[in-house]
Amino acid sequence: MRRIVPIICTVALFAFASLGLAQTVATTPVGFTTATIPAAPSGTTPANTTICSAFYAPAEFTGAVSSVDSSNQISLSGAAFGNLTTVAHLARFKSGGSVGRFFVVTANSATQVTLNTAATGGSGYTLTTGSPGAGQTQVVAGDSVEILPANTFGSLFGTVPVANSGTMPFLTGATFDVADNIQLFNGATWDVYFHNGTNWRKTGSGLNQNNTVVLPDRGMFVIRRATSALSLNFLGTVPSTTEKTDFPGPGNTFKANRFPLDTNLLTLGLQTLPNWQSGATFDVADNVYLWNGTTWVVYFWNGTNWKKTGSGLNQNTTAVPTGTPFFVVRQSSASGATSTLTQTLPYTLN
Amino acid sequence: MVKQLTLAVFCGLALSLSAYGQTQETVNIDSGSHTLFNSANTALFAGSANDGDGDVIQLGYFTGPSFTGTFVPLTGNGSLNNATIPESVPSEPYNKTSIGDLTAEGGDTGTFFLPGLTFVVGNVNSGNSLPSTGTLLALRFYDGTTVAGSSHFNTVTDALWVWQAPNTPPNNPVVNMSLDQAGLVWQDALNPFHTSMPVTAVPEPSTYVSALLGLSGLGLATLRRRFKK
Repeated sequence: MRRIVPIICTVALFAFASLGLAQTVATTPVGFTTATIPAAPSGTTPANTTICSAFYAPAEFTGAVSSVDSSNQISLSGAAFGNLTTVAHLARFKSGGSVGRFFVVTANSATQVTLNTAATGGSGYTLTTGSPGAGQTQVVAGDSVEILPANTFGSLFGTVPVANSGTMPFLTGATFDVADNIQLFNGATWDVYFHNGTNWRKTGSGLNQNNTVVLPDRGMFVIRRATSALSLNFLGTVPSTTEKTDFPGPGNTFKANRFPLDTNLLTLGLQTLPNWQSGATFDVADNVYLWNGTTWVVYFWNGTNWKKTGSGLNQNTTAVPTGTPFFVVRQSSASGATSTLTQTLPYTLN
Repeated sequence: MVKQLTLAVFCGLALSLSAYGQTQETVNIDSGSHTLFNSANTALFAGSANDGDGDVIQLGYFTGPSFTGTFVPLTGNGSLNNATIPESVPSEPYNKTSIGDLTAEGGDTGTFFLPGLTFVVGNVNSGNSLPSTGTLLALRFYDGTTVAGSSHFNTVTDALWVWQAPNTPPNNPVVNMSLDQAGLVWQDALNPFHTSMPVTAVPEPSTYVSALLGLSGLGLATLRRRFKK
């Protein structure tokens, strides 16, 4: 089973180099968690676990929106950006109506960034209009924004295998079925990634995936085929604001626990989402799936308490530990702001 | 809609991933808010605080449609599966599922809560007698702690209790079966939640068929003997 050791949320303060981009360099609390990937019981029986990282890469720029230029473009005061797309970057809103949202930067000039607002691969939220929902959060001049490198397979796990004096710890293989796998859910099915000894690859693709973005709210499903356990350290800046996570429906999402802190089903608060469907049985309710190391455990909100299929007990205090993602199956309708879970900061930053 | 979505999630990579790894399926069963009774309207026996020593409950399926054919137990007395049930105290094998299981999940007199019954294709402890994809699963419960020692039983199914194609994680299907569900269909519909059907006095349809075939065979043999004479 995976063990998470959460720690250091507000202890160390680092000042990171700004690569010549930033007008303001903020000192930001950093932290780390360690996830243990269990060993495969045998060469033919892999071990399976779920992981996620709550941390961001250090910001390279912190400033304010000077103007909202279109539904997916903003300009930033004092910016002098170089290329923000060769190495993927995120724009992360730290104040205003979009606080807690992040967007992948798809293009930029020295002062302006174009953001991915598409529902697929992006946030699904535009910056100035009512789409996709009339009640969505928006952006205005003066909102605080960070520009930071996005987490990628390369940045999270390395690109050169440990066996070649690198840091990439997973079992490599020419094909997915002889290598460790990391699977990301794309809204319809699982994308399967593995390291072929040279680069990160994706089944069905001939492209190098080292720079494939792992968004901050993504869960990862790990299939470990090596018969030794593995410790993964996730290091970065600690979430310092409210976090927003979208759970559109009807549909399925595999999302991260956004804060490096243990929580439980009740505190997680999915039952408070607008239109969240409760029911006396799982089949008439929205479901949350947690991986227990062997299989998915199915939970649902009965209108009063969290319940588990196959159990008669109250599950409100069922743990959702640090580094644990959860799979949400919504049969209820939700889009735009009605699908957004807003989680306030569960700790204090000094 | 949700069924389609779930299938998309858990069956999406069936072709590409089934070639390697543990192919499995999990079934969660519970009595929900209901209590099961015997024919005298007494709640079924849960045994001691230990798991596995109450009246028999079987997860299984019929080889024919609409409660016909043979009932094949995947768990409970008579099942070939003996993997250990997660959380059971003391460790309980699949072939001992009973009323009152699992105590740790709230099981008590007349009730059962058994999460995490995982069946692994090819596994000698949990992969025996698995049904074909699309088969309706059912729950059968008895009024005794063994089938042989029981006098009555009843069986229940639901159109949603469908065995899916086992698959490798994370696409492994999960089937949830609760007596709180709205679409329950009882073998003895006149006495739901009760062990109302005699174990021996009323053979199942398949037994009728066997008996008829046997009688037919006997008749043919008799005719053949007469013809030889």
